[in-house]
Amino acid sequence: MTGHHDSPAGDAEDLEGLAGFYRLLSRLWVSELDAEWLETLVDGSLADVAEELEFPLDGPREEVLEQLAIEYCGLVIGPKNHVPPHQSVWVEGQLHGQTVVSMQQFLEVVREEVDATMSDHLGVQLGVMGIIVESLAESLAIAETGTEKGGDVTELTELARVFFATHVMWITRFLARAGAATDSKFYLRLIAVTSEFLAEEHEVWGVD
Amino acid sequence: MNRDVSSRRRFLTLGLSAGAAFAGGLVGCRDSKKEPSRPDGGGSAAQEAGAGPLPQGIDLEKWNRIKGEPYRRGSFGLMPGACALPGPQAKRNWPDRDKYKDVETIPGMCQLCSTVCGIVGYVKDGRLIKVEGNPKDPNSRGHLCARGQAALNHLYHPERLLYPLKRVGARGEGRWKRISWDEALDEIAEKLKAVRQSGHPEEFAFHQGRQRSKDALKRFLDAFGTSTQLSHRSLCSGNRRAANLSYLWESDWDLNDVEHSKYILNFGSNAFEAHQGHVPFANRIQNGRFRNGAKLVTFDVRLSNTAGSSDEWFAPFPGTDGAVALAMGHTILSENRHDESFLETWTNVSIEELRELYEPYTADWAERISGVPASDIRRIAREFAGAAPAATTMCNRGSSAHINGFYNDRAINLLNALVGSVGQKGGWCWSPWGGLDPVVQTPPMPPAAQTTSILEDPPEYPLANVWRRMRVGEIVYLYLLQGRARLQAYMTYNLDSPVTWPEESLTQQVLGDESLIEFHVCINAFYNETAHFADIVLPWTTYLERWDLDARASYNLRPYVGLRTPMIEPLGESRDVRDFFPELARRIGGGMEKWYPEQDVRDYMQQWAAAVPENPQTGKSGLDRLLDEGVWESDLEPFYQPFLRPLSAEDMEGSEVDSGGVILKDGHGIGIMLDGKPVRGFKTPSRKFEIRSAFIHKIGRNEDCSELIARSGMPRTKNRPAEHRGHDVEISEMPTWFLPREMEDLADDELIMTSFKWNVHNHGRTMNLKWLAEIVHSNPAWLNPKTAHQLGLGDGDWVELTSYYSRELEHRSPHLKRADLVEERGRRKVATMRVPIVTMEGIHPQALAMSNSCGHTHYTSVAQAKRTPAKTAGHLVGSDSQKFVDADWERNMWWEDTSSGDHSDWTPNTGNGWNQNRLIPIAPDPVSGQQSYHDTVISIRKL
Repeated sequence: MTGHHDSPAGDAEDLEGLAGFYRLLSRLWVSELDAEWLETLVDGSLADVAEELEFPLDGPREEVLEQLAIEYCGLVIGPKNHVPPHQSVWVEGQLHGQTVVSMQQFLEVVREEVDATMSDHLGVQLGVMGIIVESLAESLAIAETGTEKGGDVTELTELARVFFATHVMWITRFLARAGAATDSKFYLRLIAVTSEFLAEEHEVWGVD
Repeated sequence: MNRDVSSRRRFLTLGLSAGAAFAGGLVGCRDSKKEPSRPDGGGSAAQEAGAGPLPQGIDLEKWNRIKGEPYRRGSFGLMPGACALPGPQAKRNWPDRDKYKDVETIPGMCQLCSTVCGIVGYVKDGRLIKVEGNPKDPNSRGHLCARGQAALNHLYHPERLLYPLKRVGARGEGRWKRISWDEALDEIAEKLKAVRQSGHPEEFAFHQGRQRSKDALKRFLDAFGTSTQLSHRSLCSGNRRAANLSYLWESDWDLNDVEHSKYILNFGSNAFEAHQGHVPFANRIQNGRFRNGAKLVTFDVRLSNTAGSSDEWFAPFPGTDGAVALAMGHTILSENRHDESFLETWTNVSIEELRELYEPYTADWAERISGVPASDIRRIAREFAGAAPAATTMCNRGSSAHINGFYNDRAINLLNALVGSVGQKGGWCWSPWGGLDPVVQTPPMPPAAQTTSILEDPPEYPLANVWRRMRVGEIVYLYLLQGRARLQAYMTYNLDSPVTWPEESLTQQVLGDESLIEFHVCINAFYNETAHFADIVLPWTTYLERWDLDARASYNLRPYVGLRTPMIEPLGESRDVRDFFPELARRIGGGMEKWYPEQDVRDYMQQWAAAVPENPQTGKSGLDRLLDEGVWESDLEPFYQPFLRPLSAEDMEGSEVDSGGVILKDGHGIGIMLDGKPVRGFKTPSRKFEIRSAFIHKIGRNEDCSELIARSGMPRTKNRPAEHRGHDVEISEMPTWFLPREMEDLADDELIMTSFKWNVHNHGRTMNLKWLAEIVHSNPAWLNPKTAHQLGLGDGDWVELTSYYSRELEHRSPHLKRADLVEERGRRKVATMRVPIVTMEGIHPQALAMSNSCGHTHYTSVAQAKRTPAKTAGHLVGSDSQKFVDADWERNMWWEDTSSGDHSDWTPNTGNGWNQNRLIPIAPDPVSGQQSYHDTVISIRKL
C-alpha cells in the first residue's frame, strides 16, 4: 500500500523532533538533575538546546546541582507546601488513584515498567507520550516509503490522542499552580517552556 | 487559539537535537532499587534493574484491547481500575455494582489507635479500596471505628512522605532535599557507629510514639547496645498500670469483664471514644448493659460520649475520683456489705485494718471535696456491692492523669477487693498475656542492652521502671535542657512530641537545638511537627504496607495472635523498620549484623509465626494460616480466679511452705496453701492481693526488696539501681488520697484545665485524615454556663488562658524547678493562649476542657485546615483550581479559617483548633511519673 500518510503533528521528521522534546521535558521533570545530566545540559550534547531554551544553569557545578535539588524538592516532593506531581492527586484528591491503574495499562502498551507510585508522575507521562510519538514517527517514515505500516499510523495517532487527553492534558493545570509555588529560576523557566509546548500540543491533538 | 508555527517549529528543531541523548525508553525515573539513568546510555529503568529487556515498540494488540470504553477519544473519560474513594464523584455513580468485582481480601490489623482491631482490606488492581473489621478477630469481633474506616485517607494521602529527605540550612528552617536510601543509611550508620565507638551507646536514644513492632525496635537497639528507648507510656497509662501492679504484680492491665457484669462503675474512662481497648471494650460494655442488664455509672469531669451514654453521670471536681472511691469503700465496710471471705482469705490485711483505713473517708467528706452528693455515693456503693461479684470498676486517664493519680487508681481498684469481684466472671479481671500469645517466639534476640540513662530511667520516679519499663517520657526534653543528659543521636519514630508532649515551646526549643540533640533522624509516614526538627527524614510505611504479629490483652481473657501484613506495595520509597534496620545494622557492623540472618521480612515472619497450629479445615498453619484468617486464638480457659488454680505434684516437687503458707521453690514463690491444698494465689510477695504493699513503700525509700521480689516469683521486677540513691520518695503502703495543694485556693477566675480525646481522633496523628477532620477539626474551650455567666462570657467569646505550674510539684519535685517560669498571682506562669469558648452544661463549673489532637502547624494541609499553603496562593495543594474536580479537598474544606488571626473575623467551627499542650506544664506524678494532664490551674480573661 502506498500513499500519503500524515499525522496531526506533522511528518516523520516533525514527529521525531516532537518525541525528542517530550523526552527532554520528561527527563527534566521526572527527577532532580544529576551531575551527568547537568554536564550534558551545560557543556554536553544538549548545551545548545539548553541555551536556546534559556535555562539558567550558570554557576559552579556543585552549587547549581545542590540548588536545583533543593528547588526540585521544594516544588514537587515537599515535605510541605509542595505541588504534587502525580495526576491522581489532581483528579482524585489522593495518591495512587485509578489514574495509576490506567497508567499501568499504557505503560504495558509502550512496554515500559515503572514503579507504581511513579507511573502517574508527570515526568513519566511526558516520557510515555514521547515514546508513542517516536513510534508514530517511525511508522510514518516506514509508511512514507510505501510499506504496509500505514495502518499503524492510524492506530498510533489515536493512541497519542487518547493518551494526551487522558494523561498529559492535566499537566497544564499542574504547571499553573507550580508557577505560583516556586521562585526557582530554572523551574520557572521549565514551567514556562512546558506550558508553551503543551499549549501547542493541545491544539495538535485536538483535545477540548 | 492559532498555532504559532514558528514557536512549534522551534520546539521540533530543538527536539531533534535533543532526541539523540535519549536512546531507549523512559529516562531518569528514580527508584531506590535502580541506578539512575544516564544521558546517552539510558535504557529503561526496568532494564537497568536487571529485569531483562522488554520487547521494544508499541504493543498495538494491547492497545486495541483497551482502547474502547472506558477511554473516550478526545476527552477525559473514565479510566479503568478500582472505584474512586467516596466523595462527590463517587456519589454520583453510586451504587457502583462492579466495585467489589475481582477484589482480593487481605487480613491485617489497624493501627490508627492503640487498640489494633483486626481488619480486612479489599484490594483491586493493586489498590486498597475499602477496609472493614475482621469478624474473626476475637477481641474486636469485626467492629471497626471511624478512625479505622479512614485508613484510605491515611494510605493515599496526597502529602505522604515518599522519599528520604535531608535537611539543608538550619534545623527547623524547613528546607530539604531528596536523598537516596543509600545516602541516608550511610550517613545514619556513620553517625551511629561514631556513637558506639565513643563508649557512650546510651547517647543514642530511640524515641517512639505509637509502636506495634516491639521486636524489631528492641532487636535493633539491643544489637546496637543502647537501652535508651523512650516512650509515651507515662503520658498515657503509667498510674493505672502502677496501681494495678501494686495489687497484682503479674499484670499492669485490668481487663474488666464488663460483658458479664451487672454493675460497671466508671471513673473517668471514655471507653466509647478513646480507651486503649476502645471498640472491643465498648462493644462488651454495651453487651453487658443490654444483654446482661448491667448498670453503667460514670464519674467524669466532662460529659463524654461514655458519660452521656451511661445510666448515671456525676461530674466530680477534677482529680477527686479517689476520694469518691474511698467514700464508697467506707459505706461498703461500715454497712458490712463487703466480701469477708475474699478479704480474709485473699488480701494481706484484716477487716479491722481496713475499717481503720477507711474510717476518715466518709461520704460527707467526699461530698465536700468532690461535690458528688453523699447520698449518691452511699447509694451507688450499695448498688455496686449488691451486684458483686458481677461488678467491676473501670478507670483510665480521667482518674489516672493527675498528680494524685496513682492513689486515685489504687482507691478505685480496691473497691473490687472489698466486694470480692477480683478475678470473678463479670468482675475486675486481668490476664498475664499483655500482647501476643507466648506460643509464638521471635527468632533469637540479642541480649538486652545494659546501659543506663537518666532519660530512660529518671531516679526521681520510683515506680516508673521497677515492674515494667514505663519510663517518664515527659521529662526527656526538660532533662536535656537542664544538661542532665546528652544525646549524640536521636531517632524518632511515629512521634509528634511538640503536639502530644506537654509544654510545646520547650519541646520545640530542645528539638531545634543542635547542641542538645546533635543528630536527629525522624521515621514517619508524614511530615509533622517532629519531622520539622529532623536532620534526616525517612519515609515510613503505613500499617497497611508492613508486617507485624500483633495482639492486645484480650477481653476474652485468653491470648491470641494477629497478623499485620502488607495489603499493597509500599508507596514511593517508603520502607518499614523491619525492612531497613537489617541494612542499617550491616552498615554499622561491629556484630550488629549477626542479629539479622533472615533473607527478608517474610522469612522472619514465617519463623516468628511458625508455632501457630494447623487449622484442620484448611490444613494451613503458621504464617500461611494467619495470611488466610488474619488471626488465631488459643483455646485456653478464660483467666478467671487464677489464684484458685491448683498446683500440681510436679509443681510442688522440691518446694517448701513457710509459716505464712507461701510455697517457695528455689527461694522463689510459686503459690500458697489454701485449706491445706497448694494453689497458685496471686503473684505477689504474700501470694495475696496486696492491699498493704510493703514493696512500694520500701522501693520508694530505695531499700532492698530482693526478698519480696523472690517471694513474688516475678523475676522481671527489679530493685532500683544504684543511680537512684538519694532520690527517695515517700509512698504510702496503704491506699490513701490527697488533694494537690494548688487546688485548695482557686481564685474566682481560676479553673482546672482538663483534656480529652474525640471518638474520631487519636492524639497526634489523625487530624490529617479528611473524613475525620470533617467531623472534628477544632477545639474551643468548654465552659459551664454558670461559670461563663460569672465571668461575663458568652458562647463564642474569645478568652486568654494563662496556665500555672503545680505548687504540689514545686514542693514534691524540686528537681523540676524552672527559673524561666515567672511568678504571677502566687503561681509560676507557664504559658498563655487565646481561644474561643463554647458553653455547655456538660462540664464541671470549676473546670475548663480542651480536646487534644488539634492545632497542628506542620502536619499536612488538612490538619492545618489550609486550602492555601503559604507559597501557593489560591488553593489547596493538589486540588484542581479550574474544575474543582475533587470537591472534598477543595470546596468542602468548609472549616478553613480565613480570619488571619483576627478574632472579630473568626467564624465558629472554622480553623484547626489549638494545641492545648502549649498550656500544660510538665507535671509527672511523683510516684510513677505519669503526666498529670488534667490538673493544670489556669486563669481566664475575656478578650
